[in-house]
Amino acid sequence: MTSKTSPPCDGLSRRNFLRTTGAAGAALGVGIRHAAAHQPGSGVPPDAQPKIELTVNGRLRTLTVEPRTTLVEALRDTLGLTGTKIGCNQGQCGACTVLLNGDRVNSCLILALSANGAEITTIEGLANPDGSLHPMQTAFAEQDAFQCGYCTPGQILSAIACIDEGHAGSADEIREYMSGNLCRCGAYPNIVAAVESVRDSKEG
Amino acid sequence: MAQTINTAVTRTDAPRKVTGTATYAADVMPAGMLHGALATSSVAVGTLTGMDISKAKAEPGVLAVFTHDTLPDYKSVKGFYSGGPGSASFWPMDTAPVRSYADNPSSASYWPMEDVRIRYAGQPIAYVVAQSAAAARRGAQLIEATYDVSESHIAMDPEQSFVVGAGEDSKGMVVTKGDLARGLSSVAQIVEAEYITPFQHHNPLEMFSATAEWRGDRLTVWMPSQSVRTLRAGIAQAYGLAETSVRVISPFVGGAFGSKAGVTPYAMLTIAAAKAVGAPVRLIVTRPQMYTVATFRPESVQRFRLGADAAGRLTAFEHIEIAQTSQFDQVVNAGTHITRAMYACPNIHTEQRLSRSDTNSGGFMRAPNEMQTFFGLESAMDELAIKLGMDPVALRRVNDTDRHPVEDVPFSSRSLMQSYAAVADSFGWADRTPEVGSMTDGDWLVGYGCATATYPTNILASNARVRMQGTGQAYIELAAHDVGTGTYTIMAQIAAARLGLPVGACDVVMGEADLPVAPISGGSTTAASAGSAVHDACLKIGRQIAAQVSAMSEGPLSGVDPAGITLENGVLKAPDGRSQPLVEALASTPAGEIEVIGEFRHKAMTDKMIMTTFKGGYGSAGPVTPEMAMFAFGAEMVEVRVHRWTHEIRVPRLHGAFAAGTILNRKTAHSQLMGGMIWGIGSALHEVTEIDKPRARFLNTNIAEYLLSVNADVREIRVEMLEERDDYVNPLGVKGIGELGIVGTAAAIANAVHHATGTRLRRLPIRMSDLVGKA
Repeated sequence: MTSKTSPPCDGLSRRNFLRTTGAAGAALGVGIRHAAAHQPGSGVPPDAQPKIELTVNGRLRTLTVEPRTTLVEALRDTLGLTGTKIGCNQGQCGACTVLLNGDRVNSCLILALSANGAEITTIEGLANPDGSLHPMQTAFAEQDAFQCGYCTPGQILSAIACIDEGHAGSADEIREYMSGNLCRCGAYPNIVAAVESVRDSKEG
Repeated sequence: MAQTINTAVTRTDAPRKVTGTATYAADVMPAGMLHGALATSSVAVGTLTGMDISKAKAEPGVLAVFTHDTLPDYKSVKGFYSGGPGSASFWPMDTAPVRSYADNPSSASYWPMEDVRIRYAGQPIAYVVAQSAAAARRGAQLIEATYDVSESHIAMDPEQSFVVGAGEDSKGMVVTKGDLARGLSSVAQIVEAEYITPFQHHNPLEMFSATAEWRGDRLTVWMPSQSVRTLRAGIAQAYGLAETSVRVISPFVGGAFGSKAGVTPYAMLTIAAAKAVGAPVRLIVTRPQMYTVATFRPESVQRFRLGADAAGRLTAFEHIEIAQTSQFDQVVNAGTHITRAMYACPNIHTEQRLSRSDTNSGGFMRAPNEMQTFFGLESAMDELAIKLGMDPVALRRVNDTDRHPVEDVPFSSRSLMQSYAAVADSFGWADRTPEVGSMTDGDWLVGYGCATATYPTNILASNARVRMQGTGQAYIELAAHDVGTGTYTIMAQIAAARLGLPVGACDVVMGEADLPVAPISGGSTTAASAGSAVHDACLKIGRQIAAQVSAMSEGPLSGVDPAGITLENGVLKAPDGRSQPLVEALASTPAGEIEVIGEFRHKAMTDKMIMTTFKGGYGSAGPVTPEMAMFAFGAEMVEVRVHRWTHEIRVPRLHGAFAAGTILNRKTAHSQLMGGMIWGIGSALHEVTEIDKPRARFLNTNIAEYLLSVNADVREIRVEMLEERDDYVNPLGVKGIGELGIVGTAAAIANAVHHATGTRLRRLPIRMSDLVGKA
């Protein structure tokens, strides 16, 4: 019998994780002016918590966030935009993909603070105000490019970015550039078909 | 009305899924909701000697920290689900008392946070409630625990195996037919080999979550579930509540694959915490924690001895499966029950064995009995074909059978060789040259492999309520689940076909325990069982409306004997040729609407089976009834390319042909079979939960290091669904397809790797490193 003291295991250390993502936020050129004011993990009383501004799906939103709050948590829990999903909270699955200033990002890897001032597009922002769907949404539905639907919001935003980036030239290229979005149901061939159909209709 | 069954219908829930408006459990946030987080043990086996929760409690935002000492309500859960703290608990279903699993003596379940015992790494030891998810997680990290650590082993020892229920009643765990020794003594060729499969975790994309809200003695739980009634039954019993006081809500499930089938500790802990703090609590289990708070596919060893005469006919068939189980549960995924149904053989011996190690309890993972056993069986058949100098497809043909080899009842339908013929045609099997390494393309060694797929047809009792309105809409309501399987769509299709309505006018409501009884969505049951109940409800509507309109003084069917009126494609028809669309007939009745409960009860279902299903258990009639054996079949063929110098393994083409009775929706069924085949690629080449033997824990507990197939891993997948009629299985003739696609894939790939390289690999997953120095 030996005796040992050890903190509970929980995989990735949140603190190390935040340090890493802080750097990523800076690399993206996203404003981080509030982030420096508070140590991540220190906890901040609600009345002292900073305010940020996000333009989400074309609407300017002002919100108060605890410094540790990630962008996906701000979108889901603060703004109620639950269309964006959390699949791992570790930047591994792509379920939380949103467009940040037009680029696809894993919103679980970005602090809400570091996204201050950014323009965000989520799955809720794709359809037209009259309810008509974005062509990628229609293509996913028609091609049955999902089963459970949980990775779908992230897949659709990633697919739109994939075409915009010019990475949809061939099926092989689409497979490669869509491989950051996991689909456990295995809808991959149908996802490729959906991206190809939207790409072709744009070219047509 | 257009035919809606056996056509390709776009999912009725697609608009919600592509707009982010499908509501998954963790999308619901009741007012005043707080956030939970689990702290888990860092050692595998031992005793908690102390816990310092002061730093966690001091963390801003943290409101409460519960340990085994301070979570009193949870202790009442003890013993409820004696099959284990996971979905493992359905076994043994034949002997478990119907009303309670509590006093089942064959199993001694263990729930975490009962006491100071630590039984496996990653066991929950504390539960933190905070104002934000981030604060809760930080609080959980700040808990410091001390342990007395005991010796632990995470890998099973196959030599320390045992048989569940041996002795008086082996429950089919050990089966002998004929004389194996005699069968082995007169063979032309024999294959004796051992095949090994690893621990695997389901890893649905949706993380496990539970949200609990108490209002007085009423409890609402939002939780992704493939078994809402099981969950409700467990919760009600644990808390001494009437089932009618508990709501379980799970309209959309982000993938399940067996991981969301039961009552899990994280749900019970969240309910207890919500009660203790007096506010709703939502727990989202972290991805690493998902590996130890629910279930997994246990590791296994598959031992085969196959003997055949010179013509390839099997004369001896022995299969011994040894699968891992925890120290406190007996999780049996009875693969030998399936393999012994596969090929004709006069001398058969099978044994289903378990071996214990220090883990949480395993459970069901997609094709839980079949994936690992058919990797073994179909690899062994390939080895036998090579020894005999036979084409692998010809060996299957020689041993095909129309009767169950052990139970000696006919198959209700069996289209195995038709499946082989179809897939061979689409794949181009005739182009295969049998010699190992004989097919190359530049630096790529090309191999073709094939394997059989089968899946038992499990049929369970189900009810469904259909409410039809004379204005042309219908509600279809039942406690079934759409875990991505297309259930919302196929239920609407069945109703639309019978009632004569557009699919879009049939609104399906599911995923709530309060709805009419439907079985667990596991074992490929839902379409066959719940779908047959919807079918029955629609026929009842036809009969009741026929009775009403025939009794009216006016109308097309006035005065007709209602016993002679039939409902065909939504039209009531009298023998004399008079007819009236059902919706018009309904509109002409005084109420203008009708609601009925449909029932599916197969003649092979015993009262005990029905009772078990209604209590939230798994009361399946089949796959073998006193009259028939019910299985779906298929065949898969794959092209594998192995790079001569780097040993990179690619799968450019994977084709499958399947016969599973009636196909309700050719679009969603195609996706299910394709998804299963892609899971098979994962099992063959990627998926393994690595173990840290010295510390007895799962190692790669995330989805970057636990490799799931990604888009770039998947090339051409072709799925063919054969026409097959089976009037015995259920009124719809449906067999179920959710698991069939995965079953043959791993063996087909292993066989193709052998064909390409000459290296026979008997352990999953197959890796480049396995071929270094060999290929």
